[in-house]
Amino acid sequence: MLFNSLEFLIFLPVVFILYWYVFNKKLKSQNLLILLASYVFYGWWDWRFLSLIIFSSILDFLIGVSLSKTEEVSKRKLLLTTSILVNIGFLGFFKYYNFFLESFSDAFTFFGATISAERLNIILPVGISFYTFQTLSYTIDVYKKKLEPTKDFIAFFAFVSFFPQLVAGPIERATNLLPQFYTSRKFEYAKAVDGLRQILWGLFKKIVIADNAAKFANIIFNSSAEYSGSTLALGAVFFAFQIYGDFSGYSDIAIGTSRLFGFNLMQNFAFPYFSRDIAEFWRRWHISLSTWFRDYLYIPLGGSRGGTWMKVKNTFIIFLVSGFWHGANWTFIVWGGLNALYFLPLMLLNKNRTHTNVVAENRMFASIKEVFQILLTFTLTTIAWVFFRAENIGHAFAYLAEIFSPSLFEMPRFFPLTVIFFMILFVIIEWLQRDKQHALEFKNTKMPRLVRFALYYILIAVIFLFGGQQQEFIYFQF
Amino acid sequence: MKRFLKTLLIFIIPLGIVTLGFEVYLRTMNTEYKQKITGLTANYSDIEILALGNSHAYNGVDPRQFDLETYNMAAGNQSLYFDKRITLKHIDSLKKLKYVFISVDQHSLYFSSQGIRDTWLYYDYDIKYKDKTEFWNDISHFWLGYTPRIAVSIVKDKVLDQFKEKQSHSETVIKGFMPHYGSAANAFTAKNIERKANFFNGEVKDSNEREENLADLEDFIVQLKKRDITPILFTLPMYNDIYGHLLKEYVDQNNEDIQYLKQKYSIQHFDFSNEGEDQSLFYNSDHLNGKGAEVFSKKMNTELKKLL
Repeated sequence: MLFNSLEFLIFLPVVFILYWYVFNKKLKSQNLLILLASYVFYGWWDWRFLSLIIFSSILDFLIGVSLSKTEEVSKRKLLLTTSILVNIGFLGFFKYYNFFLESFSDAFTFFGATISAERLNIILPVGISFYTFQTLSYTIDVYKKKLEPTKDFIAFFAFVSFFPQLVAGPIERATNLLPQFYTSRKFEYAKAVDGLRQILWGLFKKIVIADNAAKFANIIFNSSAEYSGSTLALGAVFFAFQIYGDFSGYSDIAIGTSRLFGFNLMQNFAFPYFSRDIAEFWRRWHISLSTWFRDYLYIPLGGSRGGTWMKVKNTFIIFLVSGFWHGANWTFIVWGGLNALYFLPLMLLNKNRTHTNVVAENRMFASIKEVFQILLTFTLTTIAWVFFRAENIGHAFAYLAEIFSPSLFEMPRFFPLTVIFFMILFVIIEWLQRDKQHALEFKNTKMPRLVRFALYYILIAVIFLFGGQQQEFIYFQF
Repeated sequence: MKRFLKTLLIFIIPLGIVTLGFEVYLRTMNTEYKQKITGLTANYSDIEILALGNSHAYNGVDPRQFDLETYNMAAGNQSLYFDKRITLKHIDSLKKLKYVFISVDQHSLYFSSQGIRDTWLYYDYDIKYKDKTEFWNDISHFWLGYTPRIAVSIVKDKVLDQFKEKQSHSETVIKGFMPHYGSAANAFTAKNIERKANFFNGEVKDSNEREENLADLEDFIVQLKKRDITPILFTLPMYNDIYGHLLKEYVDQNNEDIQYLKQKYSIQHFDFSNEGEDQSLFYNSDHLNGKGAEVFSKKMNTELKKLL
């Protein structure tokens, strides 16, 4: 079920009313309702793949229980390894089987040998990369004794399949989300209202910004050979707005929806395009994934504790794996590698934590230096997005080569004024609210209700009147 | 919770009123479809020829040029799927019906849905969408038939139309027919002609519906013949320059399909596709104007008289 669909418009109020009015007597029944609603939400797409979530949930629940019963190191390691192998195995099969098959086949061909291997027609279950990481965080934390294993299987199953963030995150840690299923949840007016505002902003980002930008990004990327460098540069910028609007919009809707049910999810995007360097960008972009890799991969690998070589190696590993997580294509790996290259100089010069505050804090405008830093970071990021969006590496290089050619100074073929107007408006609103959790947060505001309502009506009207053609959320494919 | 629901209600009520307003307006506006269906039912006992098809037929078959009582039930982008279902829905009431003209253009066999126009056919003609569930059919113009953006633009255009001095086509339908006046500006530039041809090429290239539509058309022909009604295929001309841009593979396939139908069911095909040299008969590169409709409707009448 898509957040921007009529089905969800009916589903959400029904679950909301049942949750607070019918199942509100007992925590267990509320959790059970969330579990059932989550399975309906997921099964709406393809009910057959529910079996995968249920299997992963059963396995990790039992492994958690078994871990609580043994202190024997080898046994604990075996249990953890089983969880990792099975979960990553599912992910590997559904997402990477054909990629590895083709890559090996190409490699053998390159060395003059041939192997016969048949591609499988595999459907990628929606959200598998997200819930796999979420459930893995549970077994790893239980193994590390950071978290007590749960004996409440309904709470655990609901945690794994929690519908607002099931298919595209934020990837929640068991240490944050699971305990919220143990404690009774009280309806909070301010939280629910702010949740609705965040949902509205997420819909605006998705439908007005991402879907409109997608239209032009798709046209330009799909026929890039026909266009000048200036048009391709514009296409890359459109894609940068598409992916940000799409993914952060989904996260906003997910977080806002969770708040309606009394849950708090982590912030997933913190206005990343206002970052002053790449290190700051990665602290602000897809935070739940970056921190997941930091905690469960980078630190266990030794992090930055060793010498320079260890730092370089671990940085590359984390960025390459992060790229590969996004998709079974070399383009994603190159995208990850490029970001590692951007990041490395900052880390080696010990400048990767220079910008930890909000840009232009307590000021309305950024300084010229900050503007330059923001634009440079955005440009670097957008160049990397070309690899992310391109069909293959050759396509990406040809695309970039045309951008950095004299045709960059020609008039672009497209210049959709309405879309660009909304993109600029969007940047201005996000800039004004950059120290908040989301751009429509009005905590302790003195703005009269009438003015706020008018603002919401305008946003709704803009969504209806200027929304682009409905597109699936990009991150569903990951 | 009560405070939340109260605030939400206060917020939603104006939205609900606006939505309802749009819905009522869209359902009650006097569309071409409403005019056509009203005209059809009012003339049940007189109609002898029914002309079907998309906008080429809608703007190109002038019922006034026929000796027999003719009614034009074609409409913009109307597919064979809807041609068949509209006819069969009313066939038992059309006591005098002798001939059904079925328009077969380059792309007729390659589409069945008309996109947003399906909504009007559902609400005004009571013909179900092809691929949507019953539940979704029954909800709303505003939400489902159109995106709200299109719904709003329809309302806006209707309102603005009141203030326009010059119309490009007749505002009322004449026996189901709506003629265009003169020719559209820039319609015959090489670029626009190519663009139009590309539209048809895209329509046929991206389609996998040919076989299904052909079978559906065959069934339609069989059902008409069972009732002693003569189906006649017809193809109105497009402006000559467009043909060179059409994909030959599909043009040939279309000719083959028409030949197949002609032979298998012994039916006529009135083919005027080679007669599109006179630009003054066209509104744009693929639609006849009022004058062109008169010329070719007379030709259709002459061809028909040969069969009588």
